Amino acid sequence: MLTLPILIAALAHPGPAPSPAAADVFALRASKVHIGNGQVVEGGVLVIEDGVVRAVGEAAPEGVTVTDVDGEIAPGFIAMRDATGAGSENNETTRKFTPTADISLAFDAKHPAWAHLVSQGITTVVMTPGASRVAGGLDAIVSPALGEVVKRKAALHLGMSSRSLSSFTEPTSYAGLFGHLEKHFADASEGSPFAEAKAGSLRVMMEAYTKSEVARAIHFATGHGLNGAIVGAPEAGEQVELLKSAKLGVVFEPLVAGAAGDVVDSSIALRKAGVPFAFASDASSRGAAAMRMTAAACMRGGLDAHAALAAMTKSAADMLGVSSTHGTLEAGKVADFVVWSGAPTELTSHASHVYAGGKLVHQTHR
Amino acid sequence: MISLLSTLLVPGLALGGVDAPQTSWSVFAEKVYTSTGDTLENALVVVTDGKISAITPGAKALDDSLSATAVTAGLIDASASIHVGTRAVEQSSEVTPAMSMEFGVDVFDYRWERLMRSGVTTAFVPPQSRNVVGGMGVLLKTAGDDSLEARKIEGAPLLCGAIGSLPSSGNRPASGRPTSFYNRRPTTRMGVEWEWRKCLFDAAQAPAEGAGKDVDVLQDVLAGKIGAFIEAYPTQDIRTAVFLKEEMQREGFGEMRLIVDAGAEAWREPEMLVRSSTAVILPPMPSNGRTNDSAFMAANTAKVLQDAGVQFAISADDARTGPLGIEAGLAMRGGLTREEALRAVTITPAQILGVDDRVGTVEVGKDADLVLWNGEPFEVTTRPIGVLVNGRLALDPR
Repeated sequence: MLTLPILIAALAHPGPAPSPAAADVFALRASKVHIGNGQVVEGGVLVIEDGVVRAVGEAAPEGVTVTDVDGEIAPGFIAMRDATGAGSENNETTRKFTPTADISLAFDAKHPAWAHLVSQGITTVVMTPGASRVAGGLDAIVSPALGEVVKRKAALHLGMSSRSLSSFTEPTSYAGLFGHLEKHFADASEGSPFAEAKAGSLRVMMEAYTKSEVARAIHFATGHGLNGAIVGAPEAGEQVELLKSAKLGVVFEPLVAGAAGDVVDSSIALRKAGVPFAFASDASSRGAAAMRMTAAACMRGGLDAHAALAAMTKSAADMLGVSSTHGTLEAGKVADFVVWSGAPTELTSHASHVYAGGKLVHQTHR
Repeated sequence: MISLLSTLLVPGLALGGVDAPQTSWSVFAEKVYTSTGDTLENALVVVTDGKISAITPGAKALDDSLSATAVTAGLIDASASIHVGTRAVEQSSEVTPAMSMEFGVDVFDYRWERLMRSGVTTAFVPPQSRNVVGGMGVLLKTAGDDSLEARKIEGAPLLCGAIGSLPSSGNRPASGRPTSFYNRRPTTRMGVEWEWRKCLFDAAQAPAEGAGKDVDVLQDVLAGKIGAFIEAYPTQDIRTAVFLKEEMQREGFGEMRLIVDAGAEAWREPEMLVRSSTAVILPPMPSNGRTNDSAFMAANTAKVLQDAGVQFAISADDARTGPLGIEAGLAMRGGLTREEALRAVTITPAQILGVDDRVGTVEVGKDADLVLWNGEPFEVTTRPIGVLVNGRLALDPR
């Protein structure tokens, strides 16, 4: 069922592929095209040119053959934290502070496991440093299907939770952790990630889990004028006012089956309050479908389908600062999209065709 | 004024999270123990905007008064270990004076509610005794908004540490190849004492400015501006703490303000504590007589300190083994009067912690931290049925 994306990319557009006459321009018609900004075009035609969305409309431009696909089209999903294929190459265990480490260097573009993520409709992934670091480096946005780095230095990743504390190396305590962080931020030389984060030109992703950790991370972010998101925060729903006042978003971890439904309740509370949220996929430990299943669990708890889709597309792109190229199927954006057999957020749907940069990179035969 | 107030009262607390919680009430009790030496009969305590605004003995309950058999000031625990454990102590060094327990306290910890329900409204949290000098403790109200900023109150700054076997318990002697930073001093009581003397001596020798945050704190300890809050269970360790203070005095380094925490064997040499003006926090009474560090805590420990004139407070730690009211009751069993026991869990800890202007008694102008009891306080059959913290009803008696 799964095929290596490289192989598929080499094939001349099997399945609902464009006509061979116009290799760089093709159009697909689906029962619904989810633009990703809330707009859904019934029976819409998606026109792709040179790997970029040219238009979504009711008909194709003259001379372009339209291929009908069986299903609904939606933007490719963005996974906010995943280190699939990195092994431990994203985790510099000898140091708690390696702020300039470029996580894109841990990106193994040819790792076979990426195909599992792509098969779940994930076309964009944020690679992050290991959670046990305090300042483990700079997040990188990658396209696993194309094997390309989309953006280096997307955010400074900060571990502010007990996961970043060890019993055997400094710091062993929250006081020690924040003492070091304060010092690094105070002593930051011009051009360093800490200085850029303070200046607001570099986003921060702050890992924090308990409500106490989240409150402290927000306090730190507010104190240093940081923008970005909290990663973790399953109980964020009880801290919406705090998150709103600090203008921070939340990246939820995949839900653990049988765990308290915090993420579900929190996603709904955040939606209500207008606090942006997205999801991590953590495929190497939770499996490639964990992100979709978490979004579906939130819907089961009452989250509307539009918000669930946005969390995996537009909100994630906004949070990463790549909304000019990613997150929706508006004209001019990178043609990362998925043909789903049904509604994109339903677990009963599967990704029948996945396109990245306008190329067909995965298809499921069933 | 009272009638005007009552019309403003909204019954119940079902206001949701948006409206500000009610902080004005009237509380009626057959007996109000004020912690100032007075016991008022049939008294009405009026609370306005989180403060006690009037106390009228020989009064009648209003229609909407909260009622109880007895009322005391909110209890104060001067050594409550409600923190994140080893994560609250920076163990990469044995001496971390500038570390703050603000980072070691989780206001969402369920134990805060347990402590509040036991009648404790103010608690001082020192770090766990894994370091010789652990850092600055933090003083909190036990209920209120869910943020450290909202709970924290300013008291006397206290540097916390320990003398005894506990700070060295995780360390290993550096025989063979060192495997971690735990291959270090101290591994003995001698080493613990050495760490204390060395850091204080070094601070005394250091320049007054610019020697770093750790030295700044230690210099303030020597100057008596920051109190030294030292855990010491057996008399051997209490002696070490007192001798340390006296040595610094003799050397002309300064007058330390010493508070011995968990001084289970303080009863053995109370005159030493009087001589050195050392205050004592007593740990919970152990069921078998033995506390940590194999100290023997006698049943009449509090009584001995009371008679000798030692300033002491009683602690129930995190109220896991028993509530503070029961610890006060055990002290009564050992010979204290109810009034003495009450002071040891209200005004005396407030004085030790430097917040007696705000809490610790039932007096006009103080924070409306009140405990409503269903009988005589500290009896085994009596429990708190209502608790007000800053005038907010944290435990509803109705």
